[in-house]
This record gives sequence, C-alpha cells and structure tokens, in this order.
Amino acid sequence: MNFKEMLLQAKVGREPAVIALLEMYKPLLVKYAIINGRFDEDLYQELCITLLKCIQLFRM
Amino acid sequence: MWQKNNGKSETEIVQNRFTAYLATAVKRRRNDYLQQQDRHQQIESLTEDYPFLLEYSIEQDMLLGLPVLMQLEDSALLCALKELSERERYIFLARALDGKGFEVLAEETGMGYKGVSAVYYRTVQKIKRKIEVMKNEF
Repeated sequence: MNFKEMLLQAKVGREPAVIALLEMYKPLLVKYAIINGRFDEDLYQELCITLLKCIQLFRM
Repeated sequence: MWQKNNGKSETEIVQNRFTAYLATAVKRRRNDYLQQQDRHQQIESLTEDYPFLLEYSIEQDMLLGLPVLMQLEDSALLCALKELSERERYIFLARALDGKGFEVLAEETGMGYKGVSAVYYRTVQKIKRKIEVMKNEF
C-alpha cells in the first residue's frame, strides 16, 4: 500500500491505516516532544492528537 | 522495503507535503504547549515567591552575575522576550544591550543590512504590543 492510499484510508477512519501513520511519524513526534533534553509524555500525547487532526484536515 | 523519497512520483509528493504540513502543526502545538507551561509556572511561583519579596532589594547586586533573562524583573518584558524566535531575540538583545550595529549583525547572521533592521524594528513592535496586552490583563 503506498502512502497516498494509506492517507486516504486514514481520512475515512480506517484504524489500521491510522495506526500505520502514527507508527510512521512516531520518530518525528518524539523528536518534538523533547523539552530541554527530556521526553515530555504530555506533550507527546498532544502531538499525537495533532497528527490525528492533521490527517483529517490535510487536503490532497 | 524502505526507499529514498525523491519527491518524483505523485504519492511521494503527497507524502512530502503531508510531512511538511504535519511538522508545521506539530511545531505550533509545541510552542503553544511551552507557553502554557510557562504561564502555569508563573502563576505557581507568584504565590510561592510572595514571602521573599522583601529580600529582593538586598539581592539586587547578586542578580548582576546572572544571564540576561534572569536579571529582568519586569515579567511582561520577560514574557515578550520568551515568545520571540531565536533569531529575533538574538538581534534584539545584541543591538539593545551590546550595542552592536546593524552592519555587524548583518555579517554575523548572513542577512542584509535592511533585513536585520527590519527584524529589529519588527521585534520592538512585537514586544511593545505584548507588553501592552499584558498590562491590560492585570
């Protein structure tokens, strides 16, 4: 499955696709969730929510 | 299998666009989160610091050795400075405190003279506006 299909499926709400995207972007989210060299759990959760919102809002 | 994304095919373009979109959103959320935390910390420390307020005048000269941001007592200004980007803060402080000229800063940052002065004056405006907002809040 290529990225476009995956994104389209995630947009419709197919869970496996959403999970795959979340796994795919985990490193990026973790990178931005680090504050002063420390991993901030709360911020990571917020960023995960941001990802989910982005999937919905992104226009192809 | 992992392949390098060359941004050639359609799906790769979509992926790149999505990643950029996501990165922007994530950065903004992160900034908001940091500001939120800052605000919480300020509210928390306000009550805690209250009994020590009297000692502040004695410790004036001790503050001199601290980094610039910790010397400030004006919390509105401090807040405004914190919200600036790295570049804006550097240019503002270097010009306002160290008295560096725009030419020197332009060379240091790799921008043009006009660029640096534009950033500087925009920053001053931003700080003024922020302080104005903070004053109205209290």
